[in-house]
Amino acid sequence: MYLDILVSGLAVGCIYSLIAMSYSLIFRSSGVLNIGTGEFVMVGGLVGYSVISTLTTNYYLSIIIAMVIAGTVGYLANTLVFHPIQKRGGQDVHVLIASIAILISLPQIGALLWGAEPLSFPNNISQGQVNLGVTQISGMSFLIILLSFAIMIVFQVFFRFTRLGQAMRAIADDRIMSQLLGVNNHKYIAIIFLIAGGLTGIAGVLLGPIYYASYDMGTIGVKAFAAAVVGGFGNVTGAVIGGILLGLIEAFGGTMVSSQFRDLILYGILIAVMLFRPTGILGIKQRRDTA
Amino acid sequence: MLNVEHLQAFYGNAQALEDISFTVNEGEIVCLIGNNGAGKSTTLMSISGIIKQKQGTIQFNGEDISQLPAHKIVSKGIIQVPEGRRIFPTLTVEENLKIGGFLKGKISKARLEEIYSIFPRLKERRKQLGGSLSGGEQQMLAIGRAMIGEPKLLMLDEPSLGLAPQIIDMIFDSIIALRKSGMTILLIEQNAELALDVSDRAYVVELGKCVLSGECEVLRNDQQIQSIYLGQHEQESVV
Ligand SMILES: Nc1ncnc2c1ncn2[C@@H]1O[C@H](COP(=O)(O)OP(=O)(O)OP(=O)(O)O)[C@@H](O)[C@H]1O
Ligand SMILES: [Mg+2]
Repeated sequence: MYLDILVSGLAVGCIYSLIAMSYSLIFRSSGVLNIGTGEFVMVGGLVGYSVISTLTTNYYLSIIIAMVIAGTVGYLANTLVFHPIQKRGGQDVHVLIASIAILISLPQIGALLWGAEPLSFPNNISQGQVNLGVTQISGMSFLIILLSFAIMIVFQVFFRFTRLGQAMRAIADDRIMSQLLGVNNHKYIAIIFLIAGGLTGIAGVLLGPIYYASYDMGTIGVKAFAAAVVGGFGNVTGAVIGGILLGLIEAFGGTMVSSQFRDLILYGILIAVMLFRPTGILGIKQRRDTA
Repeated sequence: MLNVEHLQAFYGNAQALEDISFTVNEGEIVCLIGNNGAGKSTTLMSISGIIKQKQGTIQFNGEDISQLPAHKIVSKGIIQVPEGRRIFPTLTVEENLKIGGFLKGKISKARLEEIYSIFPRLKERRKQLGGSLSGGEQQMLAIGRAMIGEPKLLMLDEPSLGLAPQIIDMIFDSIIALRKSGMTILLIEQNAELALDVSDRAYVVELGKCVLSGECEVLRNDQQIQSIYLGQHEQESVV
């Protein structure tokens, strides 16, 4: 029983982590606090649903397609909305209000295209069990955890060892200095939006089978945002830690204390963490963006 | 090589540069001296393409670069070591150096070793985070990072700022070595004495304007320069 709670909490936590990474990647590189990040998850979930129910029965293929589409939405959000506002001298509040507009309008578009009813993914995706020698765990949870960890490791390697990843970290540290060394910030920030959107797309398709897909599933973005802040906003490793922590607190709090007050327990603990460590577990890294 | 004419620059509605004109010829060290807030850093940020609100001409090897984005200006061969060095704090020393050569593609071990041979201290610290270096080490790293990009024109903004005298000597020795190797340098300094010693020519900037220029030899003996920038008051020079 504890193992089941642990596994399902970890799985949901991994999904939070993926979305939280998206928040932090975008914020650290571009300075955009994209409150609408959760809505990219919705795009991923709904697109994934459509793919799996009409195009193919291959779940992995639906993940890839949802990733590409949500990534494109992220990319467009930057090129059509955030970047032009920043370029024309918009400040943080202006960018924030634009992201609130995304938060509100994307679900409406979602409802228009997919309807207001929750859509269930085919049962066979979430039903399997995986044998771990002495015990069995949910195959879906196993897949989520495995895939998420693989993604997180790929990110660590990418940011540490590749020329592009190092340039992106340089942008995150100091957006003027990176340009003074020849880094085309605009281009790489656009790529980060693409990647961050893709991450949320994957999160949406992973979430679909354990709950459902619907126009309002983007509210998960609030929890993921909280996870990113608890881990240390703007810190990608912090986002992973925060997400997993949140998933575990939620799972254990909800089953062992009270399922009714699950969110109350969760946010109570969050506030306590913020009181002790206001800048989050790994702390906020300072970003320079003035000359 | 670099030709700046009637440069004006603005921060929002505030005009920071009113009329800056100067030339840097190939192989020269030219310095801009002037008091706090005169507009020296603003001049460099305008040349580098960071400040976009500007008027006037900025020509590099005959080409107008005043409208180019910052990364394009770097690819033309103009690299700046900005005021306060701006080392990437969460990148290691070696990663900082590699980013310096971002436009050169993959940086070879041999190229890194060349920089390490100029600043051996950096080699000892190459795995350390940039944010953990001392001020002097950060300045060495900032210069090394710029050199890895193989600049045709190197612009240094107050390399002596906040450093101990021995460290300043060592930084300026490396600047002199660079110029011997044929590098063209635009140097900014508040420490006019130091700047006039290493440079060929100098321009004096006051309140966003170039008010005086000439050979360093000549300027060093100029009464006005001596009293305002070289800290020799008239009483002293009478004695
Ligand atoms: N980001 C900014 N926003 C508004 N005004 C600025 C900004 N940066 C500089 N200024 C103003 O522009 C003018 C020139 O500043 P600048 O930094 O170029 O001077 P400086 O000669 O480099 O001085 P210092 O020797 O102190 O470095 C000053 O009046 C300064 O107050
Ligand atoms: Mg300055």
